[in-house]
Amino acid sequence: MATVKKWHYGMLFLLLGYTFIFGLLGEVPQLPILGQTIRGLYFHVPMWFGMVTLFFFSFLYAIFFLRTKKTFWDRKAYAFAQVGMLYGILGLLTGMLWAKFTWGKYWSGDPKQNSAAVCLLIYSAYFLLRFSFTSHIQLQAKMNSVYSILAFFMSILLLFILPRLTDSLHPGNGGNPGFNVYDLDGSLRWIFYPAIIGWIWWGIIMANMIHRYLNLKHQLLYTYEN
Amino acid sequence: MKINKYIYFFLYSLLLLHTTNVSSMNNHTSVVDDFFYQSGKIYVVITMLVIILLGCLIFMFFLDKKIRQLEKKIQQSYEKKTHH
Repeated sequence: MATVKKWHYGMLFLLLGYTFIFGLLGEVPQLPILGQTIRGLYFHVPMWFGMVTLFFFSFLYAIFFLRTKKTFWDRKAYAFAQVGMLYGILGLLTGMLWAKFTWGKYWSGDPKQNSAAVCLLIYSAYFLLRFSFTSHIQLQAKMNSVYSILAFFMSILLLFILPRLTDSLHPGNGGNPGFNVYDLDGSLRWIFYPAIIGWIWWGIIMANMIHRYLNLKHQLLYTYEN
Repeated sequence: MKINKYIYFFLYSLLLLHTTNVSSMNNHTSVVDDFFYQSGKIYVVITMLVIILLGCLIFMFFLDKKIRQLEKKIQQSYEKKTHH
């Protein structure tokens, strides 16, 4: 069982502290419409990177379950999907706020916005599926693991392939340049990469906590009472 | 007939959405918009950060609630075992 060790918190403190301080105070390129919101690169973008990474872990643990038939892995997949969903919702909310002050509307039906919302809806079906089979642990785990594999591939398709095929306002999609074009001296990158690692780190810590909780609950319900 | 509180919440959010649409139709920038547009829209970034941190806090709050329920259950089953 993956317990959270002291150095994990130390790393988290270093990475996110660095992100907060230098992300808010560091030098950024001055651009007309973006203004200071280019700093959203350190807070909004890592949410999506984090979501995809956590969903990828969830997908891996689903495969582990299907190979070993141990519900331990299914619970781990469930925990990672929960935190991935949280990151996705936060990414969508921060993105909507950013869109209001750069594109003019909270929701303009941009392909990237729509496909991100569809991706979250697909993953919300994962949780619905889970709550519909609460009396059969093995069946629940099997259904969920198979669905998780499908959902992960759909999320890749929706987030990285479809928005690039059409016109999109989102940076890095549909003919729009990504932030790497503005990052001439590489100063954004020095904060962007630690920010991504830091947010993913926090997500994994939270997911492991939930996994420990789910394991305890399982032990209580299936060994204590029987 | 008792109306669910979620329906109230939904109606209230519709009302809010409607009022914000009206204010944008009049082409008057609101006080909130002025606040967000000042000093290079830095408050957009600050609000993003607040949304993320509050989201994680609420998530932790629900996890804490679930753990508390589990603790209660353990306590109950322990008491059941000691009584019999």
